[in-house]
Amino acid sequence: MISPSGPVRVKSILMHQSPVEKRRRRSSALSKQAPTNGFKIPTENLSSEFANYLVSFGAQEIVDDYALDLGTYTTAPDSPENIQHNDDGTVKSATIEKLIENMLRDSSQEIQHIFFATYTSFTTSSKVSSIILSMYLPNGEDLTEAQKDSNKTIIELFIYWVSNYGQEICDNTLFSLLLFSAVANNNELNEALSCACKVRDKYGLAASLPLSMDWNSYLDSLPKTEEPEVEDEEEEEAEEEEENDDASPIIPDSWDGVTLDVLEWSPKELARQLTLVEQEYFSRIQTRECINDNFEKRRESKAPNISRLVDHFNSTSRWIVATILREEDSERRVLLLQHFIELASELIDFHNYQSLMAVGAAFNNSALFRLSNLWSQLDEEYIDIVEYMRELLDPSKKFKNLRAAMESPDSTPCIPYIGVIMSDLSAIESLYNELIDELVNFNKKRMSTKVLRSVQTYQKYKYPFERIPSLCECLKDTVLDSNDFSLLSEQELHKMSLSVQPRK
Amino acid sequence: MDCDVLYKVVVIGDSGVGKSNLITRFTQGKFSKDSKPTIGVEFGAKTIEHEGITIKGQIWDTAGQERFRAISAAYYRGANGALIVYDITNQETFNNLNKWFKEIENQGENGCLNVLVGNKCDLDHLRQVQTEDGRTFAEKHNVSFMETSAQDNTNVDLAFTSLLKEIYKNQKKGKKTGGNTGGDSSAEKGKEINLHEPVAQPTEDDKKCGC
Repeated sequence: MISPSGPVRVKSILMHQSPVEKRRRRSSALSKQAPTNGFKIPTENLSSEFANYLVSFGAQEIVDDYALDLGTYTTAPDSPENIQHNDDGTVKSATIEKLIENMLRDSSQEIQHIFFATYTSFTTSSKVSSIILSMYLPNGEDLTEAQKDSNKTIIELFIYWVSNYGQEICDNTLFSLLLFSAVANNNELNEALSCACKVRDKYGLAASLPLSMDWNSYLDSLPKTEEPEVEDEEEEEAEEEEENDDASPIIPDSWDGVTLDVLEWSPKELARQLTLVEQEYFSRIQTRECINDNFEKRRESKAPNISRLVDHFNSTSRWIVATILREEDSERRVLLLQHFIELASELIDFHNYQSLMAVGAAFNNSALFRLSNLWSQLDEEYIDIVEYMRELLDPSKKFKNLRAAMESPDSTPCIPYIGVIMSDLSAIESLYNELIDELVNFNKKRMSTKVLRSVQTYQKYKYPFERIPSLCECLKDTVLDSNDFSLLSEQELHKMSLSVQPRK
Repeated sequence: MDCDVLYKVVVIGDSGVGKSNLITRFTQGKFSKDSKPTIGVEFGAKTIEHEGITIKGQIWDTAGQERFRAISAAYYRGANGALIVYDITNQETFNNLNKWFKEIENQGENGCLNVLVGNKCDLDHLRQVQTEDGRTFAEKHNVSFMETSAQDNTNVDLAFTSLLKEIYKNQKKGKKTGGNTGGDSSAEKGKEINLHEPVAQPTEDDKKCGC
């Protein structure tokens, strides 16, 4: 499929220029460079603006590390030492090279999806890009149709990678890909790279390029492209315009936009707004954040969105406990508990299992759970809902009942309880080997990907509710913090609980 | 039921300490780490014989949900015992033990028996937590202690079975004296649990004070 051919060394054109000289030579650098090591880049393959651009920023230092060894790949015949298959013919385990070879051949794109969703667990973006680049054949003239197709597939792979996982590609690799895009001269790839760079700037993930380059001016010179999608509250509101009458918000007259009196609001409206807040957090999760390793070990940098979701979960739960416990009037305390049970009932109807779990966790919190005087005042209809919740949310058998509900085709739209997904990922991670006979255990990667893709499916759903921004803010962690709700420790909750009902 | 008594044991501790591996090792014995992964399958129960009776241990795995602190109460509810696990090659997981003990004290049932387990003792060359430190910590909290390795199957059975036997012993003692230590009848739940139903969830009548 891929035959060896002379490497294209972009680095050679820019090699021996000192950092001091670079700024002076800005405009005419490309033509005046005299490569000393014999390699010369075909100028027709590198747009002159791009080359000038690199030079103007003293790129030679960087470029030294970015040899694009195009066309140098030599394939080894398949053998059990480099690839193994399952009984059904799918890849069981393989070397990275064999995975990439198969990815290029695989018209179903299954391998491609799994590979890019999981490669960070067994290799690096720079290794992946250098292997793929070595499979790309330069020199347009003499290529066979099959070779041209292969080149095309490689560009498509890069586009897929950069568009879907651009935020994880390391700076150096992104730079190589920018160089390559100048060689390949493909608009779609340029656009994808441009998006990836902009998104990185936006989230401040990678301001640490080797030199402080002005990426924006380069990117702006690339073909114009649409801004990457950023979820804005305004946008969401716009999307939710087609609401039916039933979904019109029910706002109590007493609402001042700040002080949340739970009993003033209908459980349905609280449930709707809580669902919108939950959806906002949930839809921001990058699926890879769910992998425990990312989530636990480098939580702030690698998993900011899921951290926020989990913090919201814990503080919502604590807020419910605290709201009930702080109520000094015992009758109103019962009303509050009933109100939250009704809220839970609405959440069940909305298939919002993440928020429902937070409510269920609140009911299970021993500070609330121990208040037999409170629970015994509930009417039967409320007890029925609580019983139903307990059964649905029961953690035994790995949340069997909850799984069934989440996977039911009637459950759309749906916000799943992420804990179930994370425990699946954790089990896959910890119970199975990364390598089988020194080869990447691709069965394991296939299973992780299946779980991660289920998250993406859930993320596509939207709820048709109209947002009440002030209430949503109240339901978010920040406001809860300022009300001291989520800051209450377990011990403080217990103290409050004991003052509501002393120990026997 | 295929057992005389059933006890619920919850396995807690930081992410990555090897909770799932301990459970799988105990309940499945040899487990092929090269096999095709499955999801949603619980490897969570095992029956042991002790003093002529069969004790079924229902082991609950919290792995993957460590940060969902609020949910822990649901796991602790009705638990007869807890295995609190740290990783001997990771000092931080040992430092966090206070947090886990505090949580089980707040949310766990009275009479819940705890065992402290330092896992991954096969990796002695990477050890960050000395055995003596683990033992001292356990003594301070008045719980039993052992180091295990799910990898080479050191002390894994022992950790679970000694906990189950200890729970049984405590239950028997409690019954003979006509009551349970700590004034909580949760210990008796072991007899009520039916495998085909969720662990006895409280109704308003049998709410137990966890304090």
